[in-house]
Amino acid sequence: MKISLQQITFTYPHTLYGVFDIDLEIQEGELLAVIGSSGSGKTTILKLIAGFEHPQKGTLLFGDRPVQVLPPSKRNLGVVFQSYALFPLMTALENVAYPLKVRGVRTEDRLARALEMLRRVGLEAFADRYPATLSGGQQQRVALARALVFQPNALLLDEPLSALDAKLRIEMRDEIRNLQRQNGITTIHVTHDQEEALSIADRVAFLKDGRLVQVDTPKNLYDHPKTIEVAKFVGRSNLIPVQVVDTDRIETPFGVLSCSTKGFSPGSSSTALIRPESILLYPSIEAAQSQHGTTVFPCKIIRDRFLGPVRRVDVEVKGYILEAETMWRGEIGACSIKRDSICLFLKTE
Amino acid sequence: MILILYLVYLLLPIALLFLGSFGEKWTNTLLPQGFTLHWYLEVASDPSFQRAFFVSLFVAIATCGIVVLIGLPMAYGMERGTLKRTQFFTRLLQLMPIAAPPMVVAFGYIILFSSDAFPYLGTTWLLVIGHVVSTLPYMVQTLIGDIRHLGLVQLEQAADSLGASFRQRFLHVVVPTLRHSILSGLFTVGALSIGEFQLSNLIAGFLNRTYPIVLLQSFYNASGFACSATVVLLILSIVASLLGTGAPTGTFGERKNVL
Repeated sequence: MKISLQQITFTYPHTLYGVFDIDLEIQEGELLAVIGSSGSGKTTILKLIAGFEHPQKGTLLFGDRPVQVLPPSKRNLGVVFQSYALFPLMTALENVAYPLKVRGVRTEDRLARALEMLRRVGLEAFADRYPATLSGGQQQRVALARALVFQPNALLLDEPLSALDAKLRIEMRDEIRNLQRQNGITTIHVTHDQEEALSIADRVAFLKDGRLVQVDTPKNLYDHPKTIEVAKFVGRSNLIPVQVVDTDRIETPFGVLSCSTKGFSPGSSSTALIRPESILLYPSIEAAQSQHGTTVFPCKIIRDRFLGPVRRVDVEVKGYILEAETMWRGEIGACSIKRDSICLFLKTE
Repeated sequence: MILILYLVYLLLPIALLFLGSFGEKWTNTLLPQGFTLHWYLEVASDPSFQRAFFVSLFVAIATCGIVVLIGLPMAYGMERGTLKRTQFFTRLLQLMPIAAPPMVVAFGYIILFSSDAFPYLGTTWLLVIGHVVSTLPYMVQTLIGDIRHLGLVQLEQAADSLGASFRQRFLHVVVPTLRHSILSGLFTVGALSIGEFQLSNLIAGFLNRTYPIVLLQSFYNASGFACSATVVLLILSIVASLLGTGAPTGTFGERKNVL
């Protein structure tokens, strides 16, 4: 089912917090991740769609049907909460069967369907266990099963993985993605973890102070962030104050770089985004020049962090410090910056 | 050490009462002499005690019933509302039992309900209302604590999103989740109601005096009689409060078939 938010505005009573003028369309079967720092309004959007809060302005459509006035129980949405919100006095099976129970499904039918759903999340053997005796990951699966068993119109996930440890979080990410694909269900996934968002979403919406800043594919969001905030939030970044020299060059604190300056007039100030992995590192100036024809700079390692697959280093280039990432494990004495990977922003900070 | 002294101070009079209730004679000696169940039989056959016992029981049970009926929606509403206003009421409710002593409430009742417009002073129901007013905060406090602690608001939102109606949510989620808190709050309320003296003494009528009031008057009689009458009250309220504190607080102990 397609979900559309049109000009949705909501503020919490007696505060200035909320979401403002949200225009967002989630296509049938799409997985949209909503990201932003805490207080940016991402959970509020979920609450508005679920019906726990009601917008003061704007239209919320499920398909073509306006639903603002419907209570949560009539919206037919599967919601997974950050704390899972499993009913403590019901077993895993009873939890999963509950939405069928309130829909008046016969006992044998609902138990069979709930058991089948538990089997799909790999918890058949835990059907008779109470939530308190299940691990975080298992509770998470029960919550997912419960949210999917009644074939909801859409799935709403509110930071569902934040309580899990790092490794399990990555496993569950893929599991959520698989379940979502299998069911072909429209899904909105709220998270503060940008990596989680990029890795499973079809599109990602970035929110700041209750406003949508950019809604884009993960790749575009990372490579072509619309604002400095997006660039800062998604991935790691070097943000460098620069002056536009001409149509093809910018002046940075550590020298002139070749870069397309389309849309910027010569002499104007700007901020350049350079991702750590687009800084190429070499053992020496000579090696750099032989491999990379364009501008190269001598550099010195200030800090060296070994992260396993990659090495994250802070290098000093003519007194300016840049963060870079490389798989190269040897010495580092020079660097160059890929021309196409530089992004310019209008405003400087 | 201080704890031991405190316990001695607390328990010694109780122990003496207990001994006294079984003693045949207790005059000018440290401890009573002889052993008899005579006093208990006498208390049990005393018509004014019998009446008072059942009045107390009735008042306590009625109070419990009304306190649940009012307290549960009240606590639930207060906890769901996030407005400053409800926080203020919560705070007020916490302070009320301390700030407004039962005696003050009783004087208010005497003035109000001895008027021609509301001639209800001395009725059992007024007594019940008095007990409800003074014990309600304890119930609401217990419930609010557990509603927060157990994350009930979110559980209910979950049930709501899963399609449960208000009635279903209340019966399937709110009441079962809070059943231990309701029970433990009830026993506290029961114990308080059974032992309540100040308010009842001032507003009870002659025919619906509660047990503690009749008890005070028994101290003008034989000491053994008074002791055994007190022990009866003591046991009643101890049982109620033990049931309250001992009520299992874990929510996963037993299997409840909700399907």
